Amino acid sequence: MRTRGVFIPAVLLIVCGLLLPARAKEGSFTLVYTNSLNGYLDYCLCKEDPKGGLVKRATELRALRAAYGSPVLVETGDFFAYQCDPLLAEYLVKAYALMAYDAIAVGDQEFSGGIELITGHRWGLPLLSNNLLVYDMFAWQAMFRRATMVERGGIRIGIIGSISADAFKYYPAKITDRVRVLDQLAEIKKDVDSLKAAGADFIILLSHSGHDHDWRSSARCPTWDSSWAGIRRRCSARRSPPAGP
Amino acid sequence: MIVQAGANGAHIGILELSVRDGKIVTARNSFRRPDDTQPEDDPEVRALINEYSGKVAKESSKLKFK
Repeated sequence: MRTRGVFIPAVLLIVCGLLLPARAKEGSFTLVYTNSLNGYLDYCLCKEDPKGGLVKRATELRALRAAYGSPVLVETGDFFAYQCDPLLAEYLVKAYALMAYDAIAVGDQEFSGGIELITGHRWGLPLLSNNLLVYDMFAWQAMFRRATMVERGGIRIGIIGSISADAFKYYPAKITDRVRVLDQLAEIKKDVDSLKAAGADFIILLSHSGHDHDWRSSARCPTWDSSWAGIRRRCSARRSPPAGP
Repeated sequence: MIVQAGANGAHIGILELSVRDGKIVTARNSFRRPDDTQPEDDPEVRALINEYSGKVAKESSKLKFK
């Protein structure tokens, strides 16, 4: 199991517009995004790095819903704590359910309490992971939805969840022996194609892969052009560092 | 475009997008930073925390230390 300070992922959100000129869609929407709660259900009184916890986040989200109408609300994972705490996990799930997220990518920390802890909660939240298989009932199974679609202001927005194999680097065999991470790019391409076919005007990738990994992938976007024609423009247009706090 | 909201629940990211024909026309990114002083507690989540704390206290009381 990894420990605090050894490997803290910066979970990224990749927004990719699709080139679908025939649809001629125009509109606007607001994306509200969070990640890496690390189990902070309540706020702490830390001076160095104030943490509001879910109790404050929920209030902010109400205000943001009032201000922006109906924003797309997404989370890129690691909302469970580092350590195994099934009771805390149960209440984190309840709190997330109250906040009504549109999509939540599964992070590695969701497995910190064992495989069954997160798979047992998978019906209570809109969890997404398109490349994660779990060994259960004598077979490798996709326990989570690959992607989802929401609509805001007439814009159909596809949302994909994905995780890097590196995220499980420091986990014990009892976890890694039962988790298989499929090739990210290949699985994402499948979902981009499926979402386009289903009428998506825009695609958001919730990538639980770490800052460096996603930044490298972003820099490799010209290579994706041949296979990911739909995201060519956005990927090649940006070379500045990702926006972050 | 890549965005992130940092760790430990310290930030909420807000990305305002306008799109045309599948392309981003304008994008504005900003953050909210809820902390221990603001905003007010959400009453529903606070109720959950109280319930959770009660269960933790109950379990803790069963522990015996030598």
